[in-house]
Amino acid sequence: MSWTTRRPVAIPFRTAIASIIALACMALAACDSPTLPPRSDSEVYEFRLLNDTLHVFHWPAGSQVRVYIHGNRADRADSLARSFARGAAQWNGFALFGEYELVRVSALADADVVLRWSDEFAPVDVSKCPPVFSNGVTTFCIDDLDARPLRLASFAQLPPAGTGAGHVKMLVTILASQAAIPGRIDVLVAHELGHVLGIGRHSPNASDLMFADPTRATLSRRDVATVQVLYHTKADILP
Amino acid sequence: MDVPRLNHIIVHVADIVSILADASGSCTVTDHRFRSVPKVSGVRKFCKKGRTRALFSQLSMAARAAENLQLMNSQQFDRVQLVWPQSCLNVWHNMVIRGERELRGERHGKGGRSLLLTAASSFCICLVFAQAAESQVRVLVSAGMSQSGVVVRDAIASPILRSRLGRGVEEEVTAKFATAPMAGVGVEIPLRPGTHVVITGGWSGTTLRATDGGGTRDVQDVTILQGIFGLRRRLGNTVEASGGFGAMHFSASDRALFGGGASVAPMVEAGLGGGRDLGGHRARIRAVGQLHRFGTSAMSSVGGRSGNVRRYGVEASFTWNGAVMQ
Repeated sequence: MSWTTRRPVAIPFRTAIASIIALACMALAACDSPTLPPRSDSEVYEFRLLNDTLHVFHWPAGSQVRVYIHGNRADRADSLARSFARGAAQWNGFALFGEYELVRVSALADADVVLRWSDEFAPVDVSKCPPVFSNGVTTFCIDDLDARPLRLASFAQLPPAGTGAGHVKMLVTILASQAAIPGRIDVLVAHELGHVLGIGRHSPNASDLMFADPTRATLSRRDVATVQVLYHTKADILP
Repeated sequence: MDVPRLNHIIVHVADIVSILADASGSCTVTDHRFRSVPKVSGVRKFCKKGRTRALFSQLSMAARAAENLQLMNSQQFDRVQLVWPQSCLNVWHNMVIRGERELRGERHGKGGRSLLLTAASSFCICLVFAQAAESQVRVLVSAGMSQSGVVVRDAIASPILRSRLGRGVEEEVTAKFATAPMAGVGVEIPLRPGTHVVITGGWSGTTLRATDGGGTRDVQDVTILQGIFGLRRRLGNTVEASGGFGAMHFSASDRALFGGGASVAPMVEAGLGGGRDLGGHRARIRAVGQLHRFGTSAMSSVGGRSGNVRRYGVEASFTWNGAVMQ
């Protein structure tokens, strides 16, 4: 039997189809789009660098921040690498629009940032921009204070890892004695990665990772909100 | 009479009926064995029809089934489920639709669909296959281009925060799916003159793009898979209108907006276009608009709210043996 010979059913199909299309059109007109709420004033702590005035630094939107992990002994380098992987995963997880991505590179020549222990020689020349001694410290210097926009100075590479000019802009130093405290390296590395991304100050709240003496290795809601606002604020210091 | 005793009798009577039925070569559906046992309903086992078996084989298997049944009963009543026996007489004929892993204790969960979902899916399947049985099923392929509206809007900072930070804060960030090719394959089944049920599966490979104060940049590649159940109505010889509903799945690298993955999103679709017979086939072109939900784990983690996303496209399709004037 062909469908053309069937007994017509009572349902008015033309009306039904029109109704379906009308409903679909009404649904298409709905404007309840997915949204992320604005960060409130209390969620975001001060992230701007204070020199003579307030400055904003962050890496260009959408860029990869390439980190070279330096260690003379493989086991010590691995320890830093594990902490870096945990810290980077956390920070990267909140770059919702791909604003940045912390990645590890195996060659110094490819690196923007060097991560190292304090008791090992840095693979870059730090004579013009020496690190300040601390449990963990991120070191960078402005190339020319009179230039506009301001730019970060590059650390020259030293043998044997590299030679001559590179584009290493930051040096992260972790105090070697801190490795004796379980879990401490995770906290310090994750904290310093926050500075690497551009958070130029410390949070006043002790429960934040970016507190001056952090105790937790995980990002708080304030840490997340701060880095997200930072990456949507115009930078006046460029890498 | 106590309940375990009653259960024991019921399952044995049921088993005898099963064995007799199986001996006659008919299909054995043994889920009635479980009806008297609390919380183990929903198991169905089918045997292939039309198998002729020798009687002695049946008897030997029946003996084995009886042993299995005893074991099963003791396991059920003692709540010890180390091994769950296959209760159909020939293990190769057993096809467990659902529930066996729960019964074995390997998986803990609700172990079943809702009645409404079962009824709805059954209705759809019956509708489709009843028509298919009349050999009216036609295959169609489609290809086109699509573009989305705003997928996510991020307001960045509250007015108070904005005033604190000064003019450097961007107004908002928006993300959209880039214009991308899409392709699909499906079947259409005539429901009545001029009206077809159309079931399609589609693919689209696109890129999520974010736009903020710094411009527009690619964030990540996204693959969109969709399944749509719809109706198409011919309005005259050429103009056709369609509508449908379905689901959409997003697949992307585990980062940025899709960090933590994305769930399947429901969607509705409406389309309007025209068709033309080419030999015995039919070619169509139509404009289509879709509305789907969108929300990801990454959005939720920062307090984001899921919502509706609009998607538009133009597609051409070709239906074999789909000519109107056949």
